[in-house]
Amino acid sequence: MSTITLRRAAYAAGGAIALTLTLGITGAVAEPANPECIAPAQPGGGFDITCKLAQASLAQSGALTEMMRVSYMPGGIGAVAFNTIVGQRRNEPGTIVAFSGGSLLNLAQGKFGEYDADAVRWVASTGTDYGAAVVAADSPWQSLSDMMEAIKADPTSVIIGAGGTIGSQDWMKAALTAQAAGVDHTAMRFVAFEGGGECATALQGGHVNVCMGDVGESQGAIDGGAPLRLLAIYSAERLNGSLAEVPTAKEQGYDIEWPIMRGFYVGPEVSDEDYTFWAQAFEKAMADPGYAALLEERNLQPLPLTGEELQATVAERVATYRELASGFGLVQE
Amino acid sequence: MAPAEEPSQRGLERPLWITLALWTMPALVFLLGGGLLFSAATINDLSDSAYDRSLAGAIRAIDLNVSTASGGIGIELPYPLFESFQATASGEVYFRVSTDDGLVEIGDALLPAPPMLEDGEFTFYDAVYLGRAVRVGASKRKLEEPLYGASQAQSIVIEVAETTGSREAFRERLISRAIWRDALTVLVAVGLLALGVRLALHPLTVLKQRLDLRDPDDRSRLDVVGLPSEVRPLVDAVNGLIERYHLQGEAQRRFIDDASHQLKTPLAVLRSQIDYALRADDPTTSRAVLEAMRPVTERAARMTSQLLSLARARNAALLDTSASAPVDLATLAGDVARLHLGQARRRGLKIEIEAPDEAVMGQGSEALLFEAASNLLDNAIRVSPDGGRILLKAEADAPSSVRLRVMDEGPGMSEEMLGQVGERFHAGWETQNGTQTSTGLGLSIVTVIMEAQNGVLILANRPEGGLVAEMRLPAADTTKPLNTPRRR
Repeated sequence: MSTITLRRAAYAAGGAIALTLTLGITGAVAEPANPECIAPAQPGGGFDITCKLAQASLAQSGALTEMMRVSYMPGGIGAVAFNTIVGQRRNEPGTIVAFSGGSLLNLAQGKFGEYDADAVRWVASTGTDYGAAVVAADSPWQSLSDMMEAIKADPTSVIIGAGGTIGSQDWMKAALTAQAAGVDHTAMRFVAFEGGGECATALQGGHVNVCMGDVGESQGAIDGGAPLRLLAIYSAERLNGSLAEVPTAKEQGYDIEWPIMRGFYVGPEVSDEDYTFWAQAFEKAMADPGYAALLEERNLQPLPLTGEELQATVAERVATYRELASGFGLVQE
Repeated sequence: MAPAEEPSQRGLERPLWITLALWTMPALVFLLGGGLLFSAATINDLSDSAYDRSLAGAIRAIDLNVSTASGGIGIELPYPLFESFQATASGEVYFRVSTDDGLVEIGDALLPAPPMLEDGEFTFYDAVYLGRAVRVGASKRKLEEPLYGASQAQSIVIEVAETTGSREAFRERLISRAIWRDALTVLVAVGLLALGVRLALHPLTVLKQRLDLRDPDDRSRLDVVGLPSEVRPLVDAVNGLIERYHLQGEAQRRFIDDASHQLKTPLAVLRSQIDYALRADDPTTSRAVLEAMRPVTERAARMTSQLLSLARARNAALLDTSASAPVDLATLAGDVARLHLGQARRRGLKIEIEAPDEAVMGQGSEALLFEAASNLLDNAIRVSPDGGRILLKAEADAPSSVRLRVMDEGPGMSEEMLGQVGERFHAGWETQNGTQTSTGLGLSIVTVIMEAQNGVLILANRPEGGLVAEMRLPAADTTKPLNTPRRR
């Protein structure tokens, strides 16, 4: 049931592109000094990719003249950075923070502290990623079913790695898959990492058997030469390019889709002018003809949302996620 | 008595080493068992502290890699660390790093929650993770400064858990080693006990062989050299028994010697007299011979009775030591004198008794002492000249001894004879003193009796003429109440 809701949300987001473009006409604002993109994780994960995309696209399109710096602030899959922005760095016009659908899920569960989605200003969504089950290249498993059989046989023998702890989006993907296979998701052996990059490292070290990660970060690592393999992608249809070879979870009999919005927010006290600057800058970047190539390089699908439209989508998603998390008994009231 | 049905009797028939083992082994096993429980607890504590220390080391190593330089909390994955850790612990290692505000949680998310910790505290506890027993070390410390705008510094909690397999195996190895050691100790103790008893009792086996091979006439004491002190009393008792049997045998032999010797002479005299009488045609001569035979026969009869009393005295000396009791020598003298009064009166003798007012208590058998005194008085009466005077004098002559003296006015004894007194029977007396006077057995009897009473017979010639015979006895234990019934 929850899967249907999610899919609808994704389509709704996809259908709103036209509205976004109208906002791009407003006048130019002065560029903030020392632009910085905070990736709230260790390097190498989805947040890193998101920041690098912003860095590349804003530079390519000329929306930002100064080179944007990427910094890392690990802690709680975005929780620490969110709290920093809300608590300490409320008014830093040059600082944008990467977020993902996973951040919204955590926000929905109260894992970001006492704050909700209104605590920051959501600037732009630059693309969508999909969940993926990643294994080592030499893993004996060829499908999600192989993995589920192994978990069924001995739940403690399969170490599932994930960015984020119980209730995180990576855990959620594993739990949904287990549910679909009729396996008790509470019996799964679960190890939390500070993002998908670290999980991939542990996977290569043989410390975990599977990472419930994202297509973008995983394929990025594979493209970089890491001996990893995608077992399944949690998208509705097969993706393009080299990813076309990877079967969807749906094809393998698990009717689960897991799109991951990737975007940025700024501090709550950032002025309207600066907020608008960032929204327009991203509109410009995403409208650039070279943007599609940048997305494809990072194995992301387009999802251009900015401004009010994004605020609304975020609110909607948080609500959807809260519903989903309640189903697992995860929401902290 | 049916010994087979007496349990105590049955128990005594068990080999000594089994009896000893039955007494000592339960206590030994109990002590070792107690020691084992104690050392098991110690081993548990020791292995816990040793393994906990390595957990603490892993926690510190993880803590060193927690970085807050970015403003966030960066934790380097501890897997390289765990690889060496797991190699030594030969188990699985789990970890979790989290902040107390719940925003950060890295590692094994399903590890059981740690107990409430103070900042800077290390704690170790047993838990179950993934259905396996684990030992968890947990520590909590405050970050140097508050992060992400919090009002106060967050605390970071690091937990490291390891499966207890190797720890348990280590313990079991140590404990089973201790159990084997103790079991071996018990076995060795039983073996040593059996061996020790066997070795300790070996001298007894040798003794038994010596006894088996011993000549029946061998009167020497058994040698106690080389025997354990515990069995010496036994050997001493056996020696005492041998001695008593020997003395008894000796006494009997002597008696037979004495009797045959003493009876041979009068019987030979009587036979020759009878021969003479048979050869004589004259009835007057026959009558004279018969009259001559009469004292010989009387003497032989008296001698027979004396021989019997000598034998009795000797046996008593050996066997009847229990009859010893305080005896009043003054009363004894009176009684003896009364018995011989008729005999003395026929000879016109006067018997005087001299005794202090208080009792003169000696220690001995009253019946035997009476016999001895009676013999001495009899002798005195025989040797005294008609109308003579005999004095019986009882007195205490020293704090520890008493005496009864019999003094007569007879011829006394030669120095040679005095020297022979006490050396058992003297055949020479008969010929010397003539058939009318003494058999010579009397003094032998007295000597034997006095020896049996721990006393002594002393004979001496009186300067004024006559013999003084002194029975000296140990004084009765005066601390004892003198309420033993006196013979009247």
